[in-house]
Amino acid sequence: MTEAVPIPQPFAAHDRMLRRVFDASNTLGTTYIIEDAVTHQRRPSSAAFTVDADGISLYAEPILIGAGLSARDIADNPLNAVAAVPVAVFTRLELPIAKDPHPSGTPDPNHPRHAAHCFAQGWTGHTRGALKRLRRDLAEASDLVVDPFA
Amino acid sequence: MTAVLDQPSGLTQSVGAFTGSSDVPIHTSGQKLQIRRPQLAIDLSDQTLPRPRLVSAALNQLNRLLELDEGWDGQAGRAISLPAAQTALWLILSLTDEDSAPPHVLPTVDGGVQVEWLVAGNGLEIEVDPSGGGAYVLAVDDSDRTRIDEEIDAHTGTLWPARRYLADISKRLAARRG
Repeated sequence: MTEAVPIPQPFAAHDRMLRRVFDASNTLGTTYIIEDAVTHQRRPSSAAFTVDADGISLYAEPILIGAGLSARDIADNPLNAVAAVPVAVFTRLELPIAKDPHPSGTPDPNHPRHAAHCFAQGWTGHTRGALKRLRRDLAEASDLVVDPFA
Repeated sequence: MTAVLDQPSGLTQSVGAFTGSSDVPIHTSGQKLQIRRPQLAIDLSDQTLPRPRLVSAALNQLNRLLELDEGWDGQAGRAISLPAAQTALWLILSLTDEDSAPPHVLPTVDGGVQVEWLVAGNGLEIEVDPSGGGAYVLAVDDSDRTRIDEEIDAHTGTLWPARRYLADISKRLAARRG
């Protein structure tokens, strides 16, 4: 990994970005949460950090809090878990965060959580291995703040 | 639908064929149709099958994945492909031994399968392509060092680095078991 380059962005290093994590343990019998076989600590798999055409979809916790919301408000239903990753981690990995409030195509466009929607960008020009390592690093650095089946 | 599992190289025991299906009701115009989904099966009564508990658990997980509908993640998640599930099972059989930590078996949004181990902070993840023909292996240890980072042909690629790494990290679990 090269030396971290500061990336100007509207969030403080300690602010957290929230990522919805697929967890249907009790219905579909599958989840993106893995558990360490020795420590039994739970964290998202790298599979939870899927990159789509715009990047990785996130919600900025400071904006959610400012709107009177919390991490639970970004879960679509009680089966979703939510992971939190500090902005400093994205900066270290050179993944700039872009605000994308009120994205189109959401089933509930009037939900106030969408004011906090962002994308982690910077995924182009990497090898498959580098992309996989970035996704793994985000997973490893994340904390589960909503974990229905813990 | 019936499919046959290729015998993993290096395994001497009979893994058997896999057959089976799960009936999925589909309603169209008031009529109920039944689509028979492919399922993996191994003869678990075969006394020569190694690691029956680990294999059985992995088999169950893979069959749950094969039942996922399109959009299983609430978005655009593709149904898991049978070849990807076959290859994932093949890799689990090929990489594990009696002391191996159990794997996590996860769907990927493109219809592939990710097989993942996490043991005392040491990770090994193998992302199997939907085609079942290719896979990416990434291993990162508890000191954040990348130990394996390579794309492999799932059937002809060299698996010994991943096998050795898994054996190494699984010792920590075996030590804890005493």
